[in-house]
Amino acid sequence: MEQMTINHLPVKTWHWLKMNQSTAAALSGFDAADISVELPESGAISAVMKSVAKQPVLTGMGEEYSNILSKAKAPVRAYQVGADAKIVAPLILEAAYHDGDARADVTELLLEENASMTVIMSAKADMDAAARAAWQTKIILGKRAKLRLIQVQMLTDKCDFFNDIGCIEEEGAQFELIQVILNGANAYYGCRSELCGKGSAMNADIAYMVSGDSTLDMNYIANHIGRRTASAMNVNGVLSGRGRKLFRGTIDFKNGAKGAVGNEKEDVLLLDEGVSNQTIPLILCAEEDVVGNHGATIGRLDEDLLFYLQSRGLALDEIYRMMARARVDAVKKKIGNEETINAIDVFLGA
Amino acid sequence: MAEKTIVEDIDRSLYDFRYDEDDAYKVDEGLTSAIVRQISEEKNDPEWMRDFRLASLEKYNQIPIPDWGPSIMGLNMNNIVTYVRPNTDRMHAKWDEVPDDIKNTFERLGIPQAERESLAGVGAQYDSELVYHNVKDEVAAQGVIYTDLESALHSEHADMIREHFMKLVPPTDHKFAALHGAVWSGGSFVYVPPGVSVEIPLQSYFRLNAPGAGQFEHTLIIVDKGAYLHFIEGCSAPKYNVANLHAGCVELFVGEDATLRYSTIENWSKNMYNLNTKRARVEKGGRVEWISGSFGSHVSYLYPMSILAGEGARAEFTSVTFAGAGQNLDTGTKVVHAAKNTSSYINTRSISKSGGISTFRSAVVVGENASGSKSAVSCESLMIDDISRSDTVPAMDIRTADCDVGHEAKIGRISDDTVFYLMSRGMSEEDARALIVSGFADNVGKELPLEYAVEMNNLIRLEMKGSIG
Repeated sequence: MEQMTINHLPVKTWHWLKMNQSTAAALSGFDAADISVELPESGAISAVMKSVAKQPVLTGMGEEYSNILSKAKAPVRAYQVGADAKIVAPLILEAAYHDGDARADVTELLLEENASMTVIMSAKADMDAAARAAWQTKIILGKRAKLRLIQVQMLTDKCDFFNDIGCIEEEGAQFELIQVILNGANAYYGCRSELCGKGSAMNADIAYMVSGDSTLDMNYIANHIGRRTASAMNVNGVLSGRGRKLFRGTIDFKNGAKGAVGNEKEDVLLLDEGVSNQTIPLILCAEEDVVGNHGATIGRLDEDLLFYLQSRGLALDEIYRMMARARVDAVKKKIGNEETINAIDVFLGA
Repeated sequence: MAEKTIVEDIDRSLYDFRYDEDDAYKVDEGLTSAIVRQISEEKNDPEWMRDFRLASLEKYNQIPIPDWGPSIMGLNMNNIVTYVRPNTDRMHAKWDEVPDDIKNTFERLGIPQAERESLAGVGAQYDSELVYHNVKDEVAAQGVIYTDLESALHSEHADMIREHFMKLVPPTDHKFAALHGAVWSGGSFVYVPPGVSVEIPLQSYFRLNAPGAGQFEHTLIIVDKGAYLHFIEGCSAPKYNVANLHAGCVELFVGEDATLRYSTIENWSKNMYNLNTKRARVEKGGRVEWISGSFGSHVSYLYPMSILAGEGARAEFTSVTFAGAGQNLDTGTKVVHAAKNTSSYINTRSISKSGGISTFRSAVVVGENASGSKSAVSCESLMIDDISRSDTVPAMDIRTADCDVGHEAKIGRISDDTVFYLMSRGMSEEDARALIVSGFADNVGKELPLEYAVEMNNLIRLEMKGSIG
């Protein structure tokens, strides 16, 4: 089967670590996904079924993935929000996948100066469905535009899922990304933010649960180009069974990004002996006047916390289940949309 | 008015002096099987070593140049002389017997004085050969062996050497390990018997005098059960306009409940490609402590590796890297937790200035059988100006749930408030900045013997001179 190479680390390291990039079976023979769209009632949003982006948007998963989608003529949905428009109700895109599906979709979100909007995207599958789903979201934010992008993945453990994001931000723009990743046999996530304009910002809150024999492969990049740009990546996850996860997170301070601040944090809870966790957080710096921080904690629960909870009468399994849920809940509560929160609770069997 | 200088203006005369090497014996430039055979004959290798060298050369020709680190395009092996024997036909046990120019070199570097005052033994390598080796009588009386590796290869320790030589760093490991296997020359062998504690350090000092030459010394240290050793390694070279190469190899075997501290102040000249490999295997309850200061070289690839093979083994890695003009120093460490309840602590600082590039690169691997293991990594980087570069590339690969791994990294600049405070106490801005950088690098300084900490701070002060103005 033909392979594609995706999620390249911006700078390479030792090959034996197998973190420089990932390979996956190449995508082919796509149809458009079965997507239900709930468009907010506003004359300021235009929705068209073709690409309207006037500049190329580089994404986290990389060129090869973009070329494959482009060659396969993956359908493009473009949503454009006019200048100064504040869209209160969210744009909701719900993709449903059925057994045997191979579907690809590209979404463009273009917010003009001072515009703001929330977009909620979710992926679901029929019970026991085995499908291949590919997403790509390209974002261009004008001056002071604000986008909240919420993505929830609730597929089966027989689905392969590719989710790729690219974002270009002008002066003062803000991109908030919330991702809840709950399943998928092989899930690949990429996100690249180009913080071009002065004072632009990117904030990502990500929660994942990887269980069974599933794999999660991630590549997140914040390129600080403009002055006083800010990025934050907060990643919380739980690995159980024989779950495997690779997180690549890069804060790249380009020369000239004076006053930029980048923070990255990953917290991984390991529940079972068969798990495999790989983490590679990069800080690349070609500018003096910046502040960059990274922190990672990987392992079991803190022994003192465990002892305290056991002393309150909780069984070990119960404690781990509770702590795993707490990580998802911490991100879930930032979603701010009751239907989406309920859907997550139902999926997790709350 | 602040003194304005550039790095090239700095007086490095302490290290940057040279002697003619017209009467030294050299092999031709380049790397061929004929040259490898010639070195082998010159060294009077046993047959197995000659075969080992030739097999390594084959590996060297097969393995590609690394594509993940700093560029080494400026290094052309066809121009490198892999073996230079200085004008002395044997190794000496007294400084008086060492030829004058070589003796003067080490005198100016302060090695004989250090030996008298604070060391249990010294080995001095000049180009490709050890020219002096000595160990204090009371240390030798404890059964400690400290000799040059080639003598050991022809002594009663031959089997021990064969059992351990390039077993931790096999020639297949990477291209320059293979190169080392083919043309290695010089270096030290240390054996510390069970339960023996060598209270004062041993030191090897490597000096590369010949232009366009390579130095490929091999250091093999075995610290047996319950023993203790502090080994110090120093190196320097005069600056030439042609590339020099250092591809040494250090293999450390730390026995059960033994401790080995390995300290290095690396100050190669800034035309040097330093492609060195260091690795330790630590048995049950043993401990390896790496202390590393990297100041010299044009390009460095240096990642001391600890393999924690026995239950409860521990590794500590403390380092500082200072990359100035024309330098691209890619340094860091690798730790493999391969047994239960092992632990590691990594604490690094890097400083980039005047266009220098420093990269911290690391790997912490916790294997499936390393339950109960702990690792903590802390790396901090300081940018002195906006024409330099500093990258951190730390990797963690965890294969057991029962572990605790923490990592933190920071990058930033010298605080204006701190500089202002020190200036308000009467310091010049340059001195204030140098003091702050020395403090930033103090994680290494406080782990070194006093004389070496002073040398390190002098190097920092040299590098910081002219940083403003």
